[in-house]
This record gives sequence, C-alpha cells and structure tokens, in this order.
Amino acid sequence: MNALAAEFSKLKRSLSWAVVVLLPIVLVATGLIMTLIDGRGLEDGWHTLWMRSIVFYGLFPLSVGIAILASLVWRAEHRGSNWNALMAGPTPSLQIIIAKAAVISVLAAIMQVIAVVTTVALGMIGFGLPGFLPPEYLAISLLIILASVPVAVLQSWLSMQMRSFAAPVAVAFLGAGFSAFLLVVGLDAAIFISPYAALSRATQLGTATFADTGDITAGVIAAIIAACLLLSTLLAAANTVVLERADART
Amino acid sequence: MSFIVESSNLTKAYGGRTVVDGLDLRIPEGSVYGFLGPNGSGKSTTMKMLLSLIRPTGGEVEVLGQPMNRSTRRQLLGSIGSLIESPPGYAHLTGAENMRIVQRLLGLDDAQVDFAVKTVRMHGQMGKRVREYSLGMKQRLGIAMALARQPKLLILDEPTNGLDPAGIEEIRELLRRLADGGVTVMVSSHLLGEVDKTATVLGILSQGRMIFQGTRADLFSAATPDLLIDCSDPRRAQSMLARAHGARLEDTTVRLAGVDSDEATAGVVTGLVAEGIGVHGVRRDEQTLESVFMGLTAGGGL
Amino acid sequence: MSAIVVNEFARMRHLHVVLLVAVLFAVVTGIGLYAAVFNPDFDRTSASSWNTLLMGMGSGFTLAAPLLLAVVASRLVDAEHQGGGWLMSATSGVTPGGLCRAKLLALGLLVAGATVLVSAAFAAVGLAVGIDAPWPAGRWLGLTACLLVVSLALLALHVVLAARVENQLVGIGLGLLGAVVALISTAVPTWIAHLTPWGYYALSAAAGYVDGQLAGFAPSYLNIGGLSAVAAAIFALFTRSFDRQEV
Repeated sequence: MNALAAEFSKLKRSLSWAVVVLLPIVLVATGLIMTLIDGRGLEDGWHTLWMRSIVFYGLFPLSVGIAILASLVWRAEHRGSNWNALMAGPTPSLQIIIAKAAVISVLAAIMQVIAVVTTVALGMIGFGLPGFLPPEYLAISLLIILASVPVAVLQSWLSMQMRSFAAPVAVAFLGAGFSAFLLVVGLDAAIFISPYAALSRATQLGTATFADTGDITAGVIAAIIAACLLLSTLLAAANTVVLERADART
Repeated sequence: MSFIVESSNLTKAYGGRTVVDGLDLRIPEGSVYGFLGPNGSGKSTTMKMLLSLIRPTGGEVEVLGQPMNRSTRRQLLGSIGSLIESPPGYAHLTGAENMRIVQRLLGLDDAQVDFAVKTVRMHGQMGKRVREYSLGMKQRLGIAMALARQPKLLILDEPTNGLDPAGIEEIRELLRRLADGGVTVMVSSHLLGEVDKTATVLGILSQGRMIFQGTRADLFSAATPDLLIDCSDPRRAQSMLARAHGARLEDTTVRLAGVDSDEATAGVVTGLVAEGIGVHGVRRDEQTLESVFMGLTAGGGL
Repeated sequence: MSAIVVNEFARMRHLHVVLLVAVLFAVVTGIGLYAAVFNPDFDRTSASSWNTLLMGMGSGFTLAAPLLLAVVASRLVDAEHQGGGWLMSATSGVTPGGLCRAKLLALGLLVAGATVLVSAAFAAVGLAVGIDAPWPAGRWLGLTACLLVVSLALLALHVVLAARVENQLVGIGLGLLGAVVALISTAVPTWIAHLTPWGYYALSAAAGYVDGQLAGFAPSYLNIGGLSAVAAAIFALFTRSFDRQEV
C-alpha cells in the first residue's frame, strides 16, 4: 500500500517517536511510582500492577497521545501547499483517510506494545513479581489496540478539519474527560457514541474499576469490538463524504 | 544632494562568514532606489540592518539624518515602512482586522489606514480572511501595512516576488506614484527588469559587496558597450583587427570590445579604409541593463 | 503598552482562545463540583462541606489547567510564527520580548477572570445549598489567589516555550506531562511537589485529608510566593533575551 508508506515517510524528523515511546513509559511508570509512594503493596500481584499502570493511562493520556500523533501526521499537510498537492493527486479521498488513520493506529499500537513491555519489565525487575503478565492482559492489549482505531479516525478528521495542532488535542482531552465521567456514572452505552469511551472502557477491562465489574465476559468484549467497528466505519465514511464535498483549502 | 539613508562600512558576519561586506549605501531623498543582486547576495540582511532588526558587525547606519540603532529605532521606525521577506498577516484574521492591529500598534487614525488600503487597491477585499487571499493580495496588504504610517522611507524586499506580470506592473506603478508623492522608496530585486524602469538610482550587490551605486546613466557609462562595424570585406577586417581588439565576426558585422574612446574608434576606421575596405556602418552595441548587470555580477567587476 | 495588549485580544479572534478559557472554566467547575458534592463528607450542616468545595476547586484546576493553558498559549504564540508576526511587530518597534509580555498579560487577564468566576461559582453553590457553617473567606480567597498564581506561572512557561520552539508538539506534550505531574503531586511528599511548577497546585490546597480526617488548613503562601518570584524572574530573563535576539 503505497499511500501508507508515503505517510510513514512524512513522519521522519517529526518527533512522533518521542510521543510513541515516552508517553506510555512515563504514564506506566507514574502509576507504579504512585504505588510505591503510597506504600501500598501489589496485593494481587500482576493484576494490581496492570490496574495501576493502565487504567489511569487509558482515562485520558492515551486519547490525548493519539490526538497529538494525529496532529503531527496532519501538520505536514497544513504547511505550505502540501494539502493542495495531496488533493490534486490521484489518491481517492477514502484512501487518504484510511492511510492517515492507519498511520496513527499503527503508532498507537506501538504505544500499547511499549506500555505492555514497560509494565512487564517493571513487574519482573522492579517489583520481582513471580511468573509473567497473565495472558488475558495480552488479549486485552489487542483489544486496546483495536479500540485505538476509532479514536485515530476521529482525531485524524479533527486535525484535517481544524488545521491546527493544539485545538484537536484539547478536543480529545475534553472528550476523554467527559467520556470518563460517563463511565464513572455507569453509562456503559457511551462506548457506542464516544470513541474515547470505547478506548477507556477497553483499558478498564478486568480491573473492576469505573464501569468494569472485574469479570471479563464475552458480552463485554463483543460490545467493545462492535462499538469500535461501528464507530470506525461511520466516522471514516462521514469523513470521506465531507472531504469529497469540500473545496480544497490551503 | 541630501541622503535619507547613509551607511558607512556596513558589515555583517555570521561566525566567520561575511554576508555583507563594507557597504557605503547612499540613498538620495525622493529617489526610487533599486537594490539589485542575485539571491543570497545579502540584500535582505542589509535591509534588516537598516531597520536595526539585526545588529551590524561593523559600520554605521544613518536614517533620516539620525544614527539608527537599538535605542533610536523605536522612534525612527514610525516613519519607515517596510516589508521584509514574506508578507506578514495573520491568516485567521481578515484584512481589516490585520490593519487594525497595525493601526493600534502605531497609533494611526482611520484616515491613514483608509488611504493606505485605497493606495494598494485592496478596499474591496478587507472583509476576507487573509487565508483566502492570493499571493498578490497578501503582498499588497503587506505594503498597505507599511504605508499606513505614511512613511518618509519605504523599504520593500522583493515586493514583486511570485507576482504575475500584471501584479508586477501594478507594484511598479504604485512605487512611481509614491515617489511622486515624495516618499523615498528602496526596493530590492534579483530581477533587473523589475526595477529597471522605476528606479532612479541603482545599487548592485554581489556576494555582500557593493559593485555599483549610481544612476542608470552612470551604470551605462561604467561599462563601455562593444563597437560594431559593417564593411565591404568583413572577413579581412576581422583578421586584421583580431590581434589588437579581439575582433569577432557576427554574420557580416565585426564586433570589437574595449574600444572606449572616440579617438580609438576613428583610428580603427582609418586603418580599415587605408587597407581599401569600405566602411559603411560604425555603431555602438545596443546594451541592455540586463547585460551590464550580468557582466558586473559575473565578473565581480568595477 | 496598552495598545499592544489590546492587539493581543484582536489576534485571539477566530483562534477560539476565549472559548478555550471558557471551557477551562466549565471543566474546572464541572470536575470540582462533581468531586465536592459526591464526596461523602459533603454535609450541609458542618464546616467540612466548605472543605469539600475547596478541595474540589483545587482538583478541578489540577486536572484541567495544565493541558488547557498549554493549548491556549501555544495557539496565540503560534499565530506569530505562522503570520510573520515577529518581523511585522519588530518593524513597528515592538520587540519579540514585548510581544511575549503582552501575550502573557492578555491571557493572564482572561485566566484571572475565569479563576475568579470559578471561585465565585463554588461559593455560590455552597451558599445556595445552605451550608450552615460560616464561609471561610480567608482560606477561600487564599486558595483562589494561589491557583491563579500557579496558572499564571504555567502560562508564562508556555508562552516562552512556544516562542522559542516552533514545533507545537513540545508545548502540548509538556502540558500533557504537566497534567500527570500535577495529579501525582497531590499524592507525593510535599518536597517533591516543590520540584515542578505543576506541583504547586497541590501546595495551594486549602483543605484535605489529614490522617483520614477532612481538615481545613492554610495554603502554602510562602512557597507559592516563591514560585511567583522565580517564574517572574525567569520570564523577565527570557523575554529580555528575546528583545536582543535578531530576527
């Protein structure tokens, strides 16, 4: 897929790696440092470790991180007349949208891998936990990667439309914050409306925090997967329609 | 003649690299000063030093009879309009909102702003956001920002860059009108043709050095055009004059370089006639400013 | 100077800066009131209700302000990078440093307005639900002032950073990191909270849990005064160096 390769080459020297690498490491480490400072132990071993490292990360930093990546990906287009060049090219709108969202999603996936690696490393080396991260969390990580996709599609759209670096990040922050609030008050259905809620919900799976009961049921997993597919498709389709109708702007 | 801008030995070096080297700029009051030079010859750097936007490594600048430096610039800049590098303008604001920012900054009244906007013929476009402007419109808005303070001196850095022929002509026309109104204009360009017809005084910069400064007439007289001779036997004439004058044959015309006085011209003709060659035409090559310019900048001459 | 500051407000048009500050107000109020009213210690008949409101106000700023302030500062300063504004101002006699000072002043006025409104809104809620204990005026105003000082220090940091570094990633990323740091600082020993500007939100607290009991106490005025002095000195130093910088 040429469009995707082109997107990746545009990211050279954009400092996107700094977000991808630093954000998960800092956030995961933060959760654990808090644990140490509080003097609470890891009562439930790996399960407690996962809860402390990933749940806070998923509340809003993860969404904001994806928003920053989207802004970085679109930044190149909004400079000079690259945008015109892109729109004047032979690439169909849908393909542009998919390529952009795919780049952001891949970066988000790498972020999740780094978050897991950091958690495992801290658990084994830092806390000397026996064994390895329970395999269900690896499966949940895949779900988190999937749940990053609708956020990537939405943020890509916002960054395309707003032509600003900071504003879409602010939207992600507020959206994620509001979604977290909805989950706290138990409105689980929010995951079908807000991509941020779907992502947060995925990070809470199996931790018994916020909207989660602690049981990983097939029903919840199916709901999250369905929400992600639905939101990604709808957002990408809507974005394509808008892009097809809009005049090219510099 | 009084000079509105005078610099002595103006020099700017970045590290060990000298970008502007010992410039003695003399801009007569009321003139249109064409500041010429290839890209990267130090024009923008010089203009920034005149505005005290960057500090000279050596030498001094006097503008409007006062030394221009960090302590005097604030007061002097009120009477100097300038447009350096790319045209300014906040893309998210309308033209009118951009003008209001300049107005407030300099404490101007509405009449001054209106006049400037009308002068650049932008009064129909002020409600649009600058983002929607064409390059020419941005350029004209930038000039309006510079003009609104009713400057005595206007410094424009490549104002015709990227404009179409009609836009270029419009800027030229504008400069002429401003000069007629008593504003001294310094305008830089890397294209001679753009300032050729408007400038009354020319300064030519090459690799940071001033290789020529003076009027158009001065420039022509500084470089002697070739002598062209039409005669009955051009072949023989060419071989006769080849050694002494480096004669070359162009069709049936003999071209001689470096024959710089009337006596020398007469001597050449006498020589040909003495050899039995009939001379029916002796003239100077029609010299464009372009060729003079190329000769000067390429050879680093004068 | 006044014209330069008025110009900053003119530049904010279409940048949605005022909207963002309004959002800051709404989010801080929302988070804070939610945290306060749903606190089990929120009980109309005791003084602890005022304490839950004071805590809620603090946590609202801690969560929302670091990133939103970064966004606001970044947008206003980026307009200069995009529009050739530094050069335009310089040719009109306003140095880059002067422009930064005007931006801090203009944004500071907006943020001060929002902070005062937040404070008034919280007080109004407390009075409206009829808390029996008297309104703790001293601590209330103290907390408001401290939160404002910390916010202004963060604004100054982001204005300087955005002017220096054209890539907005740096400012926004730092804002995100700041939000995390601000949150952590509420839970760590106070000496750690002193190390970063975001930590001073935690030091502003006028109420909190001491040994599991909700209690009111005075904000760390001295330390926040120290922050304001250091921030002012650093901001002055940087903007002064911008003045000498060549464009």
